[in-house]
Amino acid sequence: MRARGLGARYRRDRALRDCSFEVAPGGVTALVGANGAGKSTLLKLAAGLLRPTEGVLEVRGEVGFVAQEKPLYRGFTVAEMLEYGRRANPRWDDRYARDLVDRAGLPRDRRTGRLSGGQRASLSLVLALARRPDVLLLDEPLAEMDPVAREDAVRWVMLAVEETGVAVLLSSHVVADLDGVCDRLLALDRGEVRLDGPVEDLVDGHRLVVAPRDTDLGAHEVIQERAGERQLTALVRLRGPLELPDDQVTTPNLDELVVAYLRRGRAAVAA
Amino acid sequence: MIWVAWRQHRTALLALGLYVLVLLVLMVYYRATMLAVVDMRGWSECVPSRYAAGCLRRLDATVWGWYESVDNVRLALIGYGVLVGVFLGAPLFAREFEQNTHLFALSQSVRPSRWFAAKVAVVAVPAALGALVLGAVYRWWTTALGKLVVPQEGFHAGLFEPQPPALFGYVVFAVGLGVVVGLVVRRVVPAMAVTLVAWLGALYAVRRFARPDYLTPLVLERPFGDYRIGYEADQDRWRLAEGVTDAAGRFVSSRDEVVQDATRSCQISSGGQHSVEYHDCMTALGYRSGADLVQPGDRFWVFQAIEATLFTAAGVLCVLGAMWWLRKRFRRDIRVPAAA
Repeated sequence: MRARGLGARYRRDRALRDCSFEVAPGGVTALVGANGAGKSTLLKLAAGLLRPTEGVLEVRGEVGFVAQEKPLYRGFTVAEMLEYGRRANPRWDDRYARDLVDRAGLPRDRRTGRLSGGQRASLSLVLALARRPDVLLLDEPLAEMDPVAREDAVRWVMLAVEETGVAVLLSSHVVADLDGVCDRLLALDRGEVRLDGPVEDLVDGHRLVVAPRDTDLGAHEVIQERAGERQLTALVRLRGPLELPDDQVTTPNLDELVVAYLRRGRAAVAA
Repeated sequence: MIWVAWRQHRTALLALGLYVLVLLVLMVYYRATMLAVVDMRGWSECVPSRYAAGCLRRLDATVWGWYESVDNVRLALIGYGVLVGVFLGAPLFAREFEQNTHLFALSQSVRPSRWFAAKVAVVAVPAALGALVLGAVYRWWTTALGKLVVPQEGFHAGLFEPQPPALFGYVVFAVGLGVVVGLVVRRVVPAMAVTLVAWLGALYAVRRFARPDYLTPLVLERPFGDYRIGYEADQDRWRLAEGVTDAAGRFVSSRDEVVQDATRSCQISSGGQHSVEYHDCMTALGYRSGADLVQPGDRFWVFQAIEATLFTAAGVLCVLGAMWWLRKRFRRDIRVPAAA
């Protein structure tokens, strides 16, 4: 899946502008950003449910999509939803679907209107996975799930990536959920891409520095800094080796990285 | 996808089927009991015309009650169109959008157009068949009793609108209209209300403004003041207006003020409308004869065909328009097929 200069408007509001990125097969890309950043818009564009107003979006192969609302036909039982999936998708894997439904503990004869929010989210994920898609788009898939279901869901997605090489694009506004899940990060804020790259490179390429106030950070790019009375806290993007004592430097986690970039973007917009 | 659409709409379809069944039973029952009464009282010569020998004197209150039964069933048949539009057509897509399930349906592998077509077909085909069956049985019942149950002219809305072709057209239009309104409004209850008002409005507008002019009406001359002779000659006709013809043979409605004045003054001078003096008086004022503006009874099936075509075409256009919009809106040209 590849986007170049992608933009979308709702009437006069711009939901997305000039987004360019790529999602490669066999990996999980995390789409992060605050509420209203344009994550759902981007996923709907990719699912073919919205039309881009500018730019190009190419999606290769079968696309599975779970919308944020986790829509299911209320009057259908779990088994009937699986039947819907089987009839509407030529690549449907029925054994796999039944297996996942059983593992998630979803009663097959219960109407979906009577399932809990977490159960509906699980069933929606199963319906998308069992299509054996080439690209899987998940909008806040974990939000309503309890911790056990969440762990199951993450494991199923990872297994699917390993077994079928599906490209997963998964959105969340809780970055902590995604630690250890995604191998690529795409951070959106107010419709623009703020950060895009492999998680490993991003983490390796940044350092969190806690040093005396007058420390010279040299050529390194300061993404965000907070100066106290005697101490300076800064997230920097490395440009070459960082010549500071080890006890002043730590590796940032994903959460810190994303927040720093989103804050910088907002400061730039405000200025 | 037919299974999916059927599973989704089966409750509404079965309820509609029940409604059809009740009406069918009612009509069969009415027909049997009414024919039994006709047999018992020897009214069979009054079936083709109430003006047959002595009929007007022999018929009694039983028959006046029949008019009401027929009228109620007619309303129930028009109501069938309302039910189809409001409970099947309008929610067909409005509910999908209201509950966001369109996001699920439109993102499956199956093309949006197939999903759309399956849903429309599952609703429209049984509904239209129901209309044909209801219309046919209504006709089978009312023709057996002729003028005993429908004393009016054959084109009267009560006899015209529940016929199979017209009813078929109304129902197809109800589905098409409901689909379009549902896609525009996207909320079930408002979509139902809009469909109801728009459908009834369309039916009324056609009945009032379009139907009388499907074909150019004929001017049939008759003696001044004689209103029965034309009706007795063609009891199935539709009289749009009555009046006179002027010296050149042009029709002038009796609502025309000049004609009203002439009629009034001649009535006063000749003491009524049924005398030679009245005729001479009107002729002296420049009128050639009394006249009716009519659609003759033998145009009945032509009018049925026009009515059915009009509504069916409107319904089909609605569906095609909705399909075109859906394909344009949810086109999947951003997708490149996976390399083989």
